Amino acid sequence: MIERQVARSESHQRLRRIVIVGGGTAGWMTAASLGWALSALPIEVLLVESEEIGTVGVGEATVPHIRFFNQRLGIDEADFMRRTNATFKLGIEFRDWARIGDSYIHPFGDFGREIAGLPFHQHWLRLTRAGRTDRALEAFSLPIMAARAGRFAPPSPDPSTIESTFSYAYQFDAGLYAAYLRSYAEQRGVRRVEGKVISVGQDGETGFIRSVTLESGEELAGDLFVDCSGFRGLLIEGALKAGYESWTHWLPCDAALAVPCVHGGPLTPYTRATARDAGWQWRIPLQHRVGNGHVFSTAFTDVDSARDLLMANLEGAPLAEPKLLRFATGKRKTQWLGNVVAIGLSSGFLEPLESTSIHLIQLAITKLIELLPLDGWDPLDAAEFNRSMVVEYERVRDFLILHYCATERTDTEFWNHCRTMSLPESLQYKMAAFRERGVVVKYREGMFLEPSWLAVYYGQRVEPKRVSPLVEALPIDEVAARAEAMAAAFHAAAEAMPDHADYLRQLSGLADPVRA
Amino acid sequence: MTGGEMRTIAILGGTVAGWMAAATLARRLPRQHYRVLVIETDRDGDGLGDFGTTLTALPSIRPFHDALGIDENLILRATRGSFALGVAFAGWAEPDSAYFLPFGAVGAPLGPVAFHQLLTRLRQQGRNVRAADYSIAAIAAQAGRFARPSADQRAITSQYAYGLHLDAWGYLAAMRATAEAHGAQAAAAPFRQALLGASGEIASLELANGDSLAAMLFVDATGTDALLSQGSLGVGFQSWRQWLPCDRAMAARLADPSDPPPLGQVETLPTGWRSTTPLAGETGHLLCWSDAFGDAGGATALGIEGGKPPHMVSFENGRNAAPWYRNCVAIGAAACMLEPLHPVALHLVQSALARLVTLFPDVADAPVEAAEYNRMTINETESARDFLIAQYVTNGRLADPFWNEVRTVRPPDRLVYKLAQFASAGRMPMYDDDMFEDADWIALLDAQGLHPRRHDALAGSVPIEHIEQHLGRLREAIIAGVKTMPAHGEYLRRAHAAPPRGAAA
Repeated sequence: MIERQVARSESHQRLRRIVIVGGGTAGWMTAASLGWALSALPIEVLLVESEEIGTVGVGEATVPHIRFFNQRLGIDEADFMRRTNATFKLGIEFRDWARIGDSYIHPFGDFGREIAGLPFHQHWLRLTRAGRTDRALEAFSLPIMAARAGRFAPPSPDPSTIESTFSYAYQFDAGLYAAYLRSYAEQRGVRRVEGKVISVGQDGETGFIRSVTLESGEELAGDLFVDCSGFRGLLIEGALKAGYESWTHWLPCDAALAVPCVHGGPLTPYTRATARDAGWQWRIPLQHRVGNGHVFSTAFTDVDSARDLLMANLEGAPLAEPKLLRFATGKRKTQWLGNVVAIGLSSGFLEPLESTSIHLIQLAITKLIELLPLDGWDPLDAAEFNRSMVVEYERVRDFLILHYCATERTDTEFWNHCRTMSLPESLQYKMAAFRERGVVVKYREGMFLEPSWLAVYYGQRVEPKRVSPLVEALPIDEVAARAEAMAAAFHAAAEAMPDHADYLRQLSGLADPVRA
Repeated sequence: MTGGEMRTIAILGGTVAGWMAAATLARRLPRQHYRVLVIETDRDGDGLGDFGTTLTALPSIRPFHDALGIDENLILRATRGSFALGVAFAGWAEPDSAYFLPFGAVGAPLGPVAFHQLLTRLRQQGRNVRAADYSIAAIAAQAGRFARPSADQRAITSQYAYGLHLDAWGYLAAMRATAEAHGAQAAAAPFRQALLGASGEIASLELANGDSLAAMLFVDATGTDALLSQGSLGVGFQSWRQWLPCDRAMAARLADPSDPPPLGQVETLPTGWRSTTPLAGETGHLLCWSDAFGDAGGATALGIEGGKPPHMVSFENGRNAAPWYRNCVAIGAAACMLEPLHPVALHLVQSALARLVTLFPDVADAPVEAAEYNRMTINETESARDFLIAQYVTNGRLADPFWNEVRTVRPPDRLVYKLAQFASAGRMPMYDDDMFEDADWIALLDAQGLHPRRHDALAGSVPIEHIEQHLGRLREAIIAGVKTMPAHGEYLRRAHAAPPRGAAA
């Protein structure tokens, strides 16, 4: 039975050369990881990129998983931070999303601690509804308290302490990160080839890519190709026509303007996403400058107005001309097709609202290493890659849509559209469970866990109709006292942390601010 | 909730499953607002399928007991219980083969490389390696030794888990005592019939003394009868017979003066299988077979002749189509019937109760809670089913019609995919709410002889000598760790003041 099930055509051909097409964040993250994983094997890794083609420099802000990526490669944190002008990130502040004037933080950490086996937010709801607390939920989150105070210290490894109840990520210069990983990769035998790919050679029978030819005439043959060529998907789309599944009906933003500026505010240990009339604006503080961008929908505004809005909302002098990017939110229908694996923007695009781009790259790389076909092609490798990436993409997608649909704003056409659009069934299901009973639907896979959903639900005024009846198992006075003690402890723990800039200065030195 | 209004949770079935539900709900629901009542029926068994009178609990029973404030030693005393490090299987991979599936991890990764990938690498070099040789639970079980795991995560003696072998009636009594201590009560009279309300929900239960008992929520713990769920409400049953054709069981208990081994055993027979579950002073024997393929040898195969006639069961593997329907939640065998090839029944009750607590409704009609409860419950139930099918479909008994049938049936799609991924390169895709961990799946399939054709790239990078050194060190540490453990019988007597073996007989 089993033999029959897995019977398939398989050619026993050893993997000898992997060609990564495109540098940038995706390309060099892939190259560094393959260099790390394969250095003891007779497999050559090439990366071809052209200095003439700019990179998007996607995702200057990250999620905590990036730390495991760096740790696996053996990267020293202080050195990495120094060389990428990195700052620490405890979460993302969202301004003006449900209503103008609102502000909430999606933290990398828990809200309160469980009481009597029930999630803390259920107790908080009970206290709030009984008028026994006027504290916001964020008063029970250490990373939010620290973020609001501009403080940072790494979490405690001791799980019994409240100082262990959070995690952190980085905000860094993606261009410098790519350069950092480039030197890492080259030290581990990855060969960089300068040049622009002008044509692709395919096997007439299987359609597999056999080689790419550069402008110089040089032909690079390979067994496996990783397409890190960005939006255009030179191999996955250009050659293999994998197709694209568009999600613009749920996520209508389709353009972004990005511009760095000089520091005009504090070195916050968090990213900010401020809702605008037809989109939102990001603010990512690095050591030496601030990254800014305006993500918007061209169906509801035009590029000139979007540019004006961005430039009018910078905290300091701009350091460059704003750069325009156009995109279609969605994902490549098949991300591993034939002998091509798409990683990064070639695999799909989700706006950087929750800093997921680098994480999706990282997941794809981890999967690729796990599934790498060392000796011959088994369709099951691609099947498993594609299955798990679809799950991840769709779950991130639903989480992003929540930010748009959970709004009370009626001030612009854009927000009217978002508030009333039809939603994916999977998201309707999740929101119904929360609205009815404060239940966060849990899955095995998918990067955003319960605290993330709680942060956005409550932060955007989605509130459960009913509280768990089990909260009443404890006397309300006791719960109120425990909640007060918890808030005081979180407050004290946050106050005990050093100032974010001071901590950075002591850890890795702090780059001089760039002047306009 | 406001005021002094009391709500009733009515649990039908004074069974193991029913009293577990009563204990959990009485412990967790606010006493000032809820009363938990258990209504017995005249057919009450264990509510778990009545496969004899012994039960095996997986390691997940520990947090369940902890949450109820139950001392494990007390449970052991009440149930003449023993510890379980895993299950020994004979005749499954090949007619004369045997292997041990430990509870908990097997081996240890080497840096970033998974243990089973290392084994594939070694096997490709022609080395004959057995995964269980690198499991401290397996080695301890083989040596008949046991101690509770060390709390020190760095110690090799922390790298295993244990379950329990229990007497079902002793466990029922312990659960009942716990439930009553938390405020649950037994109804004054047994069940006579259920009455439906105007919109098709269960309105009340009529008791034998004529009392009518209304409740906000009903829990059906009546075992395979599913008196409320499938009986009164007419919820459907989905049969799994096509994959799991066993439908008869016979059970008996025999006195056994020797010290119990810290493991259960399951061996194949031409038309099914036979298992033993060791308690202090006796052993539970179970025979499970498919009637369509002839009988399994009956009492002779059970090892009992001339004594009391053994307990007989007819059953069908399958699940309740909607475990939570209207105001009724079915648990135990009323929700899922699986032959006890792997001891999943208690675990499924525990996780059903954990979900019910999380989603506990404050209104009688709670479709959102029910939908989420059913999604997770059905996922989990089917993943347990698939684990059993995986063992049947990879069997190596080639000469028996029964075993040929279960080997050649096409498994459910998700299992086909899991098996194919594992056979290809040792990968184990996991799904939402899977009951077994990937390590359990890998251990099962590896032991069944389904060896991956390829290892991954990371395993390919490690020099063979490093792998051998790693395995050598692991084996030494395991043997040294096992030497620190006392004999299981001694530990059982000493730690739990269990009566000496034989005294109980």
